Amino acid sequence: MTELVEQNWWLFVVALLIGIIVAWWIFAINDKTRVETKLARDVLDEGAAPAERNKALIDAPPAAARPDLIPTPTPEAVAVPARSMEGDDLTRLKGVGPKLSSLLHTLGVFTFAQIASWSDEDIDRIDTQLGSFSGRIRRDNWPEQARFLADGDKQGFEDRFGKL
Amino acid sequence: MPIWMELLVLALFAYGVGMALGWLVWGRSDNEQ
Repeated sequence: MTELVEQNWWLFVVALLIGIIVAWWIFAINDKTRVETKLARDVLDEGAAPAERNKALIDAPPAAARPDLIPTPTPEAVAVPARSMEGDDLTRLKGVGPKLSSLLHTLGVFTFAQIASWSDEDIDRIDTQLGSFSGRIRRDNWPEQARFLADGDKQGFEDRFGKL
Repeated sequence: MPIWMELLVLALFAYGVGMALGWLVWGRSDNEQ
């Protein structure tokens, strides 16, 4: 055995060198390639190391700090509240709550004057659109209530329908 | 065991030792990152 090694030592040296070269090629060269890709990619890329990506997201300034990301309200969004501000508070009518008031808004009814001017046909038409509140207009006599409120006759309203 | 097979086994052993040395020098530092 010893004789065999002594006679063929060059063979083992060559094998050892080949082993070292292959190991260098696998570990050193591939590692260099990996370093290059690491430098080239963004930490926010998909597949980036989670810790790096999370750190970058945490360190990023909040969206609120960037005015260009905050949406400006559209004119339409402002127009709706402005319209309801112009209208009367329909919940002052006896028998009309917030739900019924918003339902009337969707039907285009915003003022006491509108309700006061309803004819029998108008009442029938609106009544069919009130769903579960159907029949309330005549039962609670909205047009007469609205007439007092549209005229600003608080005393007359309270005499007829009770305290506001 | 024929002599060529002994030589082959010893050569593979030497190749393995070379790989181990290479890993110690270039491979291990990568794992420590």
